[in-house]
Amino acid sequence: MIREDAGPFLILGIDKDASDANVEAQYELRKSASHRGELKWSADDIEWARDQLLNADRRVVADADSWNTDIASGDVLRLIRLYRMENTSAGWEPLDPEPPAELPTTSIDMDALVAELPLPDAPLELPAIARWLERCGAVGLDPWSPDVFGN
Amino acid sequence: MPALLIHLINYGTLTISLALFICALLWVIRPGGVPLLVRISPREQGLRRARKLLATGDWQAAFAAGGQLRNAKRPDPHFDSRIQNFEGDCLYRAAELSLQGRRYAEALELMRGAGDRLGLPEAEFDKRIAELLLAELRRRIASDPKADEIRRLAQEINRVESAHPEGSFWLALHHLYAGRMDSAREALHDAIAAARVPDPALYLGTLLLRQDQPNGAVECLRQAEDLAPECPIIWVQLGTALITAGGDANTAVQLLEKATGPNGLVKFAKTPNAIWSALGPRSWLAALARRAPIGCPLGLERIEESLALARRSLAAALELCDRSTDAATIYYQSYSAGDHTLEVRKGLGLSLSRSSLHDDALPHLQAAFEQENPPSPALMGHLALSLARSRAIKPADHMRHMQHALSVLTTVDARGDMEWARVAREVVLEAKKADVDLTPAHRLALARAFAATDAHDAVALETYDHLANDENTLPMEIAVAYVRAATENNARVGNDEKLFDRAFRERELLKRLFAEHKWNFARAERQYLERWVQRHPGRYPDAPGPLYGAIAERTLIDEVRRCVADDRPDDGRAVLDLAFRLGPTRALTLDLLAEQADRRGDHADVAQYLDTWTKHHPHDARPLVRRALIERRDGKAAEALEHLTDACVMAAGPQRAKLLAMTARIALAAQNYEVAEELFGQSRSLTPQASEPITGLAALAWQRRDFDKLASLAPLFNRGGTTETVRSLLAAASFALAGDDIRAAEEITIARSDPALAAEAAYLRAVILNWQDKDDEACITLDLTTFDAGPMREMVHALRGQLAWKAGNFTDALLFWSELSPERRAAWGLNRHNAAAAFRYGMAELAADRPAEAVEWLGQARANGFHHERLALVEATARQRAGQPAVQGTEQTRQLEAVLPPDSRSANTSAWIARMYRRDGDFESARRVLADVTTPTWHVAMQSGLLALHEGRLDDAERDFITAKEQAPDTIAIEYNLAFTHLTQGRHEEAAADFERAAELHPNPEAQRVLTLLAALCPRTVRRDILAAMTPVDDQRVIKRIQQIGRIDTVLTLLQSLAQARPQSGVVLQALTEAYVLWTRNLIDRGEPEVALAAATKWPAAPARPLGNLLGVAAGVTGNRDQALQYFQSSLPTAEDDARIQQNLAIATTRSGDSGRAKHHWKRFLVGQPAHCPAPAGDANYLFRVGEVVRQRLDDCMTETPR
Repeated sequence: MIREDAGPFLILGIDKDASDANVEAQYELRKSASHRGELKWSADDIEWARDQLLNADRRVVADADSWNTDIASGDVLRLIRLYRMENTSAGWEPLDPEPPAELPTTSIDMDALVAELPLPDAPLELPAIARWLERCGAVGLDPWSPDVFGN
Repeated sequence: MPALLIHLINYGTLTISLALFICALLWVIRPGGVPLLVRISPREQGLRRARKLLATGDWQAAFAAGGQLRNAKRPDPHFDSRIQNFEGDCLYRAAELSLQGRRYAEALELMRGAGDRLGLPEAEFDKRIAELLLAELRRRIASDPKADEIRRLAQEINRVESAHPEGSFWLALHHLYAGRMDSAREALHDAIAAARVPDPALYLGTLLLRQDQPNGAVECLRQAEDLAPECPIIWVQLGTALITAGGDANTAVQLLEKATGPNGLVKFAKTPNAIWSALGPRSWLAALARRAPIGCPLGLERIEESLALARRSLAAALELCDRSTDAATIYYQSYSAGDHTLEVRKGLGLSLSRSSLHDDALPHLQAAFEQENPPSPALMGHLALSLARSRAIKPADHMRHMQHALSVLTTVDARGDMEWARVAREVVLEAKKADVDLTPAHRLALARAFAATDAHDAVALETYDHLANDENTLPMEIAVAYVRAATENNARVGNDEKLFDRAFRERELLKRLFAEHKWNFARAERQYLERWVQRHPGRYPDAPGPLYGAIAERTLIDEVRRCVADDRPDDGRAVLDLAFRLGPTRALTLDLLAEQADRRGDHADVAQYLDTWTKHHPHDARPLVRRALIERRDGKAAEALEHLTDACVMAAGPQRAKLLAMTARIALAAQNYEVAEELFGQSRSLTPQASEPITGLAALAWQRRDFDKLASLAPLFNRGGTTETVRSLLAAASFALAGDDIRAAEEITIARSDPALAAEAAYLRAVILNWQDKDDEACITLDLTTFDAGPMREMVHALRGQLAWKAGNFTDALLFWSELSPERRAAWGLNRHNAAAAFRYGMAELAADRPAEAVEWLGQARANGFHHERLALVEATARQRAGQPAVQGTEQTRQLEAVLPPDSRSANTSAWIARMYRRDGDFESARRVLADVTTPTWHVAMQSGLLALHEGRLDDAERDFITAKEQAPDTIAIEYNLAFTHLTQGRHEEAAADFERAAELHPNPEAQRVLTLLAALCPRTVRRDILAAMTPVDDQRVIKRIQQIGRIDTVLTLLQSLAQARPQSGVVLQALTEAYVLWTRNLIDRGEPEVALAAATKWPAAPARPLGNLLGVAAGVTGNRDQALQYFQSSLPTAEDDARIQQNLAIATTRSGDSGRAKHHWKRFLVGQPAHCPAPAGDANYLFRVGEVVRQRLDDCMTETPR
């Protein structure tokens, strides 16, 4: 297979909306897989694909020249999610019983705990005083009020 | 038989005859019957004698004889009634005799007595008597109208018939003859009740007219005219009354012309007595006049006198109708008829003068002038005018006549006489025409007279002007009149300024005079100022005194404000413009100009006016204050404060104190509390008694909790002096902090008297008690007060919690504080206390073996930020005891690990901690904790396996699960996990055994069924016997488990096996198709597309669209472009389009060299690209740029020669 025929998206195994971070992460995974012989693509091909996609100008050209593995309705992506094939870990949910922890009895000196705290202050936000100050700051401040001079 | 019959007949006849005889006898001898057999009784004989007496005329003896016949002891109703009738006859005879003797009252009494006895109606006698009395009355009026008997007769009539109109009328005539006008008027008022007779109305109207009550006269005479429309006497009187009353002169002319015409009074000149017939058929006078000649006490029947009166009245009416010539003609008729009275001569002179016949008028006016004392202003005026205009004199005498005319004109006090004023102006014009100079005395008199008549025409103005020339001491009234005239006409003369100055020198008097006459003083003053400023721009008039500038400016400014308030902006602008022209540097004017500029948003003008103000009044703080307030309004608080501070420096005394307070308020509004406090302090030092500064200082100290400062203010709080109860709140706090509990309590009491502050005062009282450690009293105060929902109630809860905390009652504290909103708790620093209380409560619940409640309170303590090294442990213990899963969170897990060090915890506890780390995604910590375990249990192995599974290390996971299984062989979790691990690994046989074992152990039947089916499906040799019994529900459950495996090879294998076992199941076949898609994609992904293409040839049905597209890609990648095109073409949707497949087609055709088809597909790709194709997140132009690449290629293709 010629890498130009496949295009960088297929070589890295990512969709066309993959971010640069996805490209980098997938590049690492694909390189390892290639090293393990799990991929037909060579490390050079993978390197080439990465370079193509991390360059914005080359990426749009590559996008125009690359196959779409999914159709417009996104059915393939939907199936990938349904069959839990997005991650490397198993898709099934294992049973995970909580181990029986042996927890020691705890003794805490509550009086000392309370004594550490200072006595809280009583709230002193009397609304009347705040209102007075607010009113005082607003009264008689019309620039053209006739009583501005207290006449 | 016949004999018998005859006998019987004879016998019957005899019997009948006898019966008839007896009846006749009885009828004769009955009482009252034929008195043949009765003897005449003595009483009957007495009655007969009495009748004989009456017949002789002695009614009194007869009446007495009749009365003696009554027997009181044995009354005989029949005879008594006869006696009564006889008495009636006696009295009636007596009444006739009284009437014959004209003793009407006696006759009336006797007739009423007779009527009573004879049963006749009383009214009949009254009417007869009244008629007799009236007849007598009329006779007396005709023969001797002044006789006193008339009054008696009238009284008699009124006694018979009260308020008799005709009687009253004749009585009125009698009074008139006697000269008793008031009595006559009263009687006429009584008589006028006869609404259909004109006589009373005529006489009353005439009488009222002569008594100078013309309005009443008109009313009566109109009534008379309505009743007698053809009576010339009424025409004369009504016409005269109309003129006198100032009524309709035209009507008067019509009436009087009729009266003086051929069908009027003249017609009765020879037969004056006949004039009464004109009063109509109902007239009493007409009726009487027909029988005897009668006179009139008012002389109405004297035709000549009436005619003279009619002519004079007609002439006057014609004058009123501005028909002076006609009036002169009528007067002349009177004059020719010998009527040379003052009235005629004066009227004739005036009419002739008014008709401009001054030569003819002059002798009559002079004659009238000599007779009239004092002469009327009109007579004087016309005499002067006739003198001035007389042409019958020698030219040499004209000047003298003119001087005489002026003298005549000014000798009379003619103030208020409009005609005089009009004539006088003409005389003045004549004098001016003749070049006759008015003497100062003439002018003064004329001017005063003009002023008094509100004359404001050109002549009056000229006169005033002349006077202003000559008079050094110009009278105020002249100046007032001129100002009034000049303002009214908007006219001016040479001495305009002098006259205005004179008037405004006494501005208050002028204002009062204008007000009395309801003239517009403001307009006059504006005229004054307008005229002044035209001559003297830039300053106010000096004449009214040095203070006038300020007064006039204030007046103008007030007028501007009124105009603005009344929505008359143009007027306001004009007045303000006047003020500015008069005083371009005056403060009030500049202030208002700046205000108006500010209101229309012209900031440059505002600055200019305020600058001018400051420049010309450098010591005036006000422009700075205005500027500062504008800046403050515009959000420039710093600049505002700066300017106000400067203003404060410039001001002094109380104004400075007020400015300081204002500046403090601005600082408050700008939240510049330090400056506000400083300014309040300065203001207070200037005005120690002022309330605002001390309240402001205290409020600021309170708000920043500066209790030392607040305590130091205590001596400054005086008793009383303000009604602001908030001041009492602050005073209470101040006194309490200063240790003056008594004053504090007093102020609290004052504050509590205000319903709006009662709750806050109670709260403050509780706070003060709390400060004084009187916590019980504080609680009682709070308990006794009602606090509405809102901030105050939250404060009360906070204080109650604080008091509870202080008392060691943490539970109550927690309950009170739990009522607060989280924001409030945080703001008041109660979160720590609240959290500690919650923790304490949770611990108590745990100790009381209520772990579920403990979990809740401990969670609340954690949520409120409570930190304690053992919180996580306590919480975990509570959860464990409550059977709840361990708490999530790496931080909590770390706390647990810290309080449970490796050497003190069991292997299972380590597994428990590792599990929490793993579930939080902290695989590294989980691995570390598990590595520390020296003697692993199956839980440790299980956790290790799960960790490996999560990391995709299937082999390690299998090993760990097997280890766990060795320690706990019959554990469902281990078997289950091991089964799926083997399945994922593709080790189907082992997986089948594990599933079977797991199914045996699983307690849930449904899960058992699924596990059993998976066990049957996994091995290479499928257990068809078991799978044959599958139901559609089983299909779905099994497929769901298969979909979770996450390994496509395993999934495809299982689904292929299932499809073989369940070939008819739609869901199974659908799942298999989906598996093919994923498998194909997986092969392409791994770079093995040819495997998919090869496998596809064996698949029975045509591939679905996603699969066809994938196979197309596989073919394209492998260079098999025709096959690729085939797959892509078959994958296109039947409806609409698919841009992604179009792109694949375009790529395939391009690589095939078919540029024509390629262009077609590229174009269709571009159409659907924005909607169908994906783009990286955050790159909005990505698709556009891809499209641009394609469009560029298309352009290139268009220019290239096709290959």
